[in-house]
Amino acid sequence: MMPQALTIAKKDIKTEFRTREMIFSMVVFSLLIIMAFRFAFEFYLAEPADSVSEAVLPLVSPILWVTFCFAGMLGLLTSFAKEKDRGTLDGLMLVPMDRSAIYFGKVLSNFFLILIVDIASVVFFSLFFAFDYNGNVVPVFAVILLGTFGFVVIGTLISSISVNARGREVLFAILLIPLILFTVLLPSITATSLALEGNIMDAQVELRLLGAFAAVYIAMGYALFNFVLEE
Amino acid sequence: MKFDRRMGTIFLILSIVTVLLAIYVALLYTPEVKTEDGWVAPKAQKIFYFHVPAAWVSFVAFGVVFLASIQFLRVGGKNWDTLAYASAEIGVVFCTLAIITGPIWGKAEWGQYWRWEDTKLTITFILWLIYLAYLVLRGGAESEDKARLAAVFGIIGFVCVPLSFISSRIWYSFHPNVVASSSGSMSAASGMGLTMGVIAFTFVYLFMLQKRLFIHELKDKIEELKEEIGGI
Repeated sequence: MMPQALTIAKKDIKTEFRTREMIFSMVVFSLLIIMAFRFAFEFYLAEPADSVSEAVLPLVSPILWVTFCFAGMLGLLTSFAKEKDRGTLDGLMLVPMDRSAIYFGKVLSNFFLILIVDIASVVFFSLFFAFDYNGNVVPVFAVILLGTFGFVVIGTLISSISVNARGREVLFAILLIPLILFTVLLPSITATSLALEGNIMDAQVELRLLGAFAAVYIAMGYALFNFVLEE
Repeated sequence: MKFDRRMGTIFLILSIVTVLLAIYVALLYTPEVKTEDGWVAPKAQKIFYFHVPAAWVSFVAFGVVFLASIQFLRVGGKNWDTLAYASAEIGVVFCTLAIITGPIWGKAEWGQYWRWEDTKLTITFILWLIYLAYLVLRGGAESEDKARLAAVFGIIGFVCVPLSFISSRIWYSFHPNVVASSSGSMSAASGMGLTMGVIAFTFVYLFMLQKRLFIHELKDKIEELKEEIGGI
């Protein structure tokens, strides 16, 4: 099953990089979100502080994760929507393989693409907020990897559900956000904040939580994906 | 579970009787809650005897949604799907009641309408959101295909609730922001008030479930008739 999943993932990434339209819109969207946050916090940041970085520090983690989630949702939904609208999903279902391979393949390709958007957001943030990551980039990146993986795992399953129903985009947001609020967002934001302060070791509980939830979500995806695709 | 007119009537009578009893027990029979240091709870504390049963019944209702969704996916059949849908609708009603009565009680007892650090509140809120989402998904679904999607989401949603609970519990244990809790120990009479409330609301839930299943059955009959005469 894994080789098939990898093939599907490679196919998705290849097709995406031919036109690059989705990744481009996701990156631009994340840029706009960060800009919106920048101006939203204009009043808060206008006060002189000891250092700009210090004033911004409590804002980094929440803003980054909200950006990842909303820009990510765009990509997650589009990946299934494209397949369904063009009928290629039916083609995939005709292949004599375990249908969960489609799920895992989608998870891998979405993970890769959203990671690109995450990295872009991190860069945009440091540009717009004049924030210096101070060599904490590696721990922060590790947390982003883990959190994004959990997000993508549940997001892919929910996007496969919402793509078949009416009012896709709104429905997707309504379905996904309550599920990720405490299981993905809260631990990720906490762990990222700790990583930014250089205390990633204190975030062990949160990281273990993220790992555990990602495992539960993968199990659910594996078990339930067949039912979503049934005709 | 199908609609059964006799059970419906039985549940109606039981509901009326137990609700009246519960009101009597909660408002008149239970004593005022006092702690050792002489603090007396405000009269609004009595809301507790309706707030907790409402939340409890909504959890049970969502458990029914979970089990019915699993059965629907496993064995199929419209009845399981209808049960899940009806139970979710009623569960959302009870959850809304719990979320409305909670802050009223909270303001009287804690001085705050809401405490995010209290995991019970956040979990109930998340549960409410998840099942509202379930209703949005299921409500837009006409065909059996879409009912299947709702069943999948019902299962995912139910699994995510304990996950969220664990997560917020762990988070708040590491970042405590404790406001002094004021719940004293429960006397036997208070316990009885609570039990009566739970029994009463359970019967109301069962009665409403029967009624809702009846309405779904009627709807299905109308659809069948429409098809027979060639309508839309």
